[in-house]
Amino acid sequence: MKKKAAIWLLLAAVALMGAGQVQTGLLRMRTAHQPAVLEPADDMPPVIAFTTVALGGFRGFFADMLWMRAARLQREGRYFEIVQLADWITKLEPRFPAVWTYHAWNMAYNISILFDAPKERWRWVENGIQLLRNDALRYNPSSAQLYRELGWLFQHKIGSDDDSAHLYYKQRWAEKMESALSRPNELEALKLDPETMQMLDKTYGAFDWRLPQAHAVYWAWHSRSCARSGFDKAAASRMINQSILDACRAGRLVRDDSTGSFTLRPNLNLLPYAEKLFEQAANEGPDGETYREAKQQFIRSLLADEKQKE
Amino acid sequence: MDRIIAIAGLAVRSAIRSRVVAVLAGSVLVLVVLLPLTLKGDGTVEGYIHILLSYTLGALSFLLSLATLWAGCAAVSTDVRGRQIHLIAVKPVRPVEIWLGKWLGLLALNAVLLAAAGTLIYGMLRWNTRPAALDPADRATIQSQLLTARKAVPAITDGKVFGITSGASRHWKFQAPVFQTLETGTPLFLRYRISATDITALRVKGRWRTAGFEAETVFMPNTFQTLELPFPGIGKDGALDLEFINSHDRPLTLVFDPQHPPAILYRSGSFEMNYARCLLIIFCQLALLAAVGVSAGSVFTMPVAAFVSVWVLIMIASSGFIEHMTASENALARLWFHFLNLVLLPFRNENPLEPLATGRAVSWAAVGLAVLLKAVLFSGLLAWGSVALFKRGEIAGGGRS
Repeated sequence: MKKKAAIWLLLAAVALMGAGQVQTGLLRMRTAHQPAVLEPADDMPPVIAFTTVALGGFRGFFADMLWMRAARLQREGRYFEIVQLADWITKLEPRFPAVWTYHAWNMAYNISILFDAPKERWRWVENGIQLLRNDALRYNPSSAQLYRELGWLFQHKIGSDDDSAHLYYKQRWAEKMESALSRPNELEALKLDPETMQMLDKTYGAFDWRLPQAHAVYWAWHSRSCARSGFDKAAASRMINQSILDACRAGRLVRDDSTGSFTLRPNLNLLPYAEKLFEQAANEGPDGETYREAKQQFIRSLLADEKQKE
Repeated sequence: MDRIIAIAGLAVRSAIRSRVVAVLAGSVLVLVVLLPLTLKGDGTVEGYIHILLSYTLGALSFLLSLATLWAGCAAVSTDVRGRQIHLIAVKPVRPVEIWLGKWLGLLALNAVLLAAAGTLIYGMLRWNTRPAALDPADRATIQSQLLTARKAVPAITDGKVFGITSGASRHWKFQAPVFQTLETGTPLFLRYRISATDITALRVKGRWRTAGFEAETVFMPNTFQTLELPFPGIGKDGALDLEFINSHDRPLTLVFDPQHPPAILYRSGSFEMNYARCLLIIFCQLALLAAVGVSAGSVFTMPVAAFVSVWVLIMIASSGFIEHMTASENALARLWFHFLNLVLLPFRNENPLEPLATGRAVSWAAVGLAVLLKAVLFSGLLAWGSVALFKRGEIAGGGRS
């Protein structure tokens, strides 16, 4: 009986060693094919290590339960728990960029617009940004999709005028950045690298970093650096170009200290690059003349805007 | 009675010896201290307090339920397996006294752990809402809307669904003798839920009006909303009249569901008593689970008893789904889910954590009902059934199936 048990134990040990050997090869292959995914041991906090390793096959089951609860609470308009549930769901599926983008989008878009007060809305937009910037990118530092989604929140949610509270968002973000630009630790908390910011200023023209277009360019540039597919590269490049054109039109913040209000004016530092973009499109596209006319129109409207606001 | 107490004492001592109590107390402490540190609210103090209360108490209740079922299964079955039961069975002790002794022993352990953890959670809550930690306005909101116990006076309705078209209005009457005894300046809250015929409308507008008060509200349809009313004029008959006007910008009908009529919330007691009532209801649920565990352990061996208990726990967790499936189109499935629904009836109750975390009163009637049904009636039925089977079983073998 003891002999039998010893044989089984030996077999189990051999199988375990074999599995260990295969595991090393598998990890190597995964890193080669999916560099966006962190190695399990790399900077994984205990809670992630626990949820991804210890829960094993039950991870999916728990994630499903949380998804269902989140959906039900949202349907019933009970938002207190949404951030908590999103936090847990993403920790159960930390390497799945689509999960992060869904929750960030849900908070910044779907939930925020259900509130009337701009202050309430801004809280949800910020929750979405924080989820992507502070957590999602920590676990997926090479995901082009996550950088692009973060950039999109700046380009569209804060930067465009689609949301009736967009001016409030811009004001709050400008206040945050005014403070951060003079305090390196705050800049670090916003995951902004001063060297990259300087490099972008040098490449495209000096941005006003208090405004969202600059941040859309910042995150889209990261997205393009990590892009592995043609789609990711093209999407990131488009975001950079569109944001530069937007910043050209209204990318300079002028504050009125007496009233505390601000106006947005054209940022002509970016005009040379914007002109280059039109030229490039004219040379590459089939209808070059249209782009040249568009460029003239763009410059005319820019100067008219500048004149009118002065 | 002495014999029951003696067996209960033995059960407690056995649990302490087997380190069940130590492990459970440690787990509860870790849960109560660590869980709040990992919680993320929606960015508001109300949100954080809401999930602090519901998550810590919910997790505590789940942990104790699991441990109670496990300990209940082990209470009799391990005695039978280890043959210690022979030392008791040969004495003039009736099987029902053994059952009651084991059950009361578990209840005593649960009472101590629940009271200790409940006190700790309350302490953490008070620490998080201390004056130095909060903005005075936030604190006032929390005190008046969350850390309180508010009773609801529903509007008088004819029980029919009705809609209010654009620009139209509807009067609501709320009548309760307590309105006449409220002091001037006591805040009242209106709680309502309204649906819109246009399901794509994310927010709709409506105006509430009463003597000396009018408020334009913008709200999400089909969700509960709360509106603070400055002390409104109460009629001589103790009635409060409120008018709702559909003031939405475009044509759209707003629908009131008679299942959820508007209600006036007024402060009826302290948060502390509400909290205690909530713990009592959780305790009654634990008493029923202890009865399930002890009964399963009396009839089956430990592995089978544990399997049955876990099945019961899973069924309880799925009771919402089972109730939903009673409306299944398949006749056979409908019959089966009706049967399951009936079996789970004793375990079904209004979750006391939801009203507690939203500042609504958990009534003494709910506590009384939980005591009567769960701790007395259903536990008694389980005791009666399992004792009858225990008497018929052969315990000398030490291993039953």
